[in-house]
Amino acid sequence: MPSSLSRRYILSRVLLYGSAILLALWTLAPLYLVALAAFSTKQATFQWPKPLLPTNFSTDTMEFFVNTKGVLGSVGNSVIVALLTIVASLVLGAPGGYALARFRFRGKDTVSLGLLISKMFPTAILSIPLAVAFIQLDLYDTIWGVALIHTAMALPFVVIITSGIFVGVPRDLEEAAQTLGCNRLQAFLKVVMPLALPGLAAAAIFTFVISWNEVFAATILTLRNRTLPAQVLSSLNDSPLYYRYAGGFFMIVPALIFIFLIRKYLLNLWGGVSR
Amino acid sequence: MAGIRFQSIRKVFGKTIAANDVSLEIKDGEFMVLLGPSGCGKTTLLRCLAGLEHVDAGHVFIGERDVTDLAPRDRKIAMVFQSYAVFPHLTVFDNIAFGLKMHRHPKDEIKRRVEQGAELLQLTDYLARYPAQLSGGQRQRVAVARAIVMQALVLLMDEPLSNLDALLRLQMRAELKRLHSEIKATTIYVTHDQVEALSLGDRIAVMQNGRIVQCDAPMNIYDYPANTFVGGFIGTPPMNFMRGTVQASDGQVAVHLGDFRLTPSEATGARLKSRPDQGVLVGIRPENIVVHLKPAAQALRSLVLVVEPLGSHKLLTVQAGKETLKVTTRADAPVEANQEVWLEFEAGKIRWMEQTSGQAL
Repeated sequence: MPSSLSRRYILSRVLLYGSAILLALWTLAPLYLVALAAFSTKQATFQWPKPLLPTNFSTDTMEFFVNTKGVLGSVGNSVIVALLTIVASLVLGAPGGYALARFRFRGKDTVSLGLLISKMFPTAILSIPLAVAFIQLDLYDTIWGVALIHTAMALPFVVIITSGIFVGVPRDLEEAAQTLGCNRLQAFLKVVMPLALPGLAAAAIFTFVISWNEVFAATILTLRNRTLPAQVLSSLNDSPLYYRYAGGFFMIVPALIFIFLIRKYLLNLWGGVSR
Repeated sequence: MAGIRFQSIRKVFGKTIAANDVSLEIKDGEFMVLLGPSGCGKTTLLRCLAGLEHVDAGHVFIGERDVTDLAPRDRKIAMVFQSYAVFPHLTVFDNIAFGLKMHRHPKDEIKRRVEQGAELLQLTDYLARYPAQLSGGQRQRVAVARAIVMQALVLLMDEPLSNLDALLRLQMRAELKRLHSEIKATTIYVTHDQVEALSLGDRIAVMQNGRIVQCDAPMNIYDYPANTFVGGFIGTPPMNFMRGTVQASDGQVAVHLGDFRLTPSEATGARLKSRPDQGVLVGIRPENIVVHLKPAAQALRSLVLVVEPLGSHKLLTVQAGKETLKVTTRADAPVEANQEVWLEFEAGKIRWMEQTSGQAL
């Protein structure tokens, strides 16, 4: 019996690790291939069969992409839009999340549900009226306009994530602070905020990624002041293959960095604050 | 220091009435325990005093000041929470100093008072630590220290010991009592643990369904419960209640418990006389029942069902007629299960209650 038991144990381990490796490859393989193509010579992009090792290493493609007109500007736009989005969605969303976490009020469930429903509207349907409205409001083709749309997109997530964080901060702590001489705002700033900070940071990074990757609204609402994804998308169809690889790689890296940073906070995100 | 006065407090949560017209006066320096089962409104009453709940009706006074509409921070109270509510992101020192800093005391005074408080609660060695590095008992001490350094008019404690293990609870209980005798702050202490209430309180207010059913010194509550609820809630095991019927003949009053005739004292007899043929409840605490191994006068024949040796004494469960009673005997009493015994009720210790309302007669 012991031998068959251990055989079953080994089998289950092999299956577990096998699946894990398979899943990791599923994600990593395309990333690797994109990176490989981005850092190969232009000619190597068209080679067949493709070498799986960086035999034709070159930064030409990347340089070509980065030096293309509008790319660096669009990177700047993307960063500014993302930062604006983070600030706006946290300033608006965190109090919303706090309210959902702390207060009982009429229509609370409806509000929670409404937040999710707002995500079910396809942006494609909204885009034309939005473009019209933005033109009327002089927001069309400005980074402010794009930041506004991205904030609207990120806000439901920020409210839901931050309410999860604030629920995890025990109410007692806030009340203790109040009995010790704080008003509500001081109690929030001195006790709740420091404890919620890791989670709020994670929400901020999450928002950054949403904004960084968003392409549809950004494409429709801008013409010259494009964000990076909009820039890449608009020129993708009429670009050579190596340009697409370079652009793809350039898009992926920041997202990877942010996801790497978010990782250690993610466990905190939906649960409590470590005590 | 100051006294406290609750005046017709009413607080409703949805359909639950947590405090139903509660009035209570607590003297300066008194240790008042609010005791009751969960959901009886004791914590609500405390939170109304702290300002963490706003009353629906009534007034709260601390000293002569009407604090009903004041924010918690303006009430000059200090509170210890059930969960301790120690701030995880601050060191023990900063936790204890938190309130003093908020009230903008000078730095050297803060340091002096924190150190004083830490010494009082044996935390001096832990001032630089974070709460996560402390045991539950130590965290609890931090919470108490943080409250007492405020030198507030009143000290509020909401089940401060309920999260500690049994041994630590025993230790902290004595510690809190010593602390109160040293700082003499007016204290309101909420608990559902009747032993804590008996051991700590100068007075106990027993609550049920949002009302105070009895407020008195611990031994009076124990000996003279105002109704069957109080008698049953306080004491482990609780008071026994037997159904009896009053019978009066030739000026003699007796209470029939099945075939058994219990003759009440003269004073009680006079009171019972007015309710012939009516039901009464005979309340008697387990330790006030004498167990005879042979038939005795005025003793109720019964059968031992269970014998539980508890070290210091034995706890018997006996069947007397239709009633099941709890009885304590000496640890060395030669009693076994399925044995017949005769129970004698100590005359002065019997409490008579009305059968329908459960109120003491």
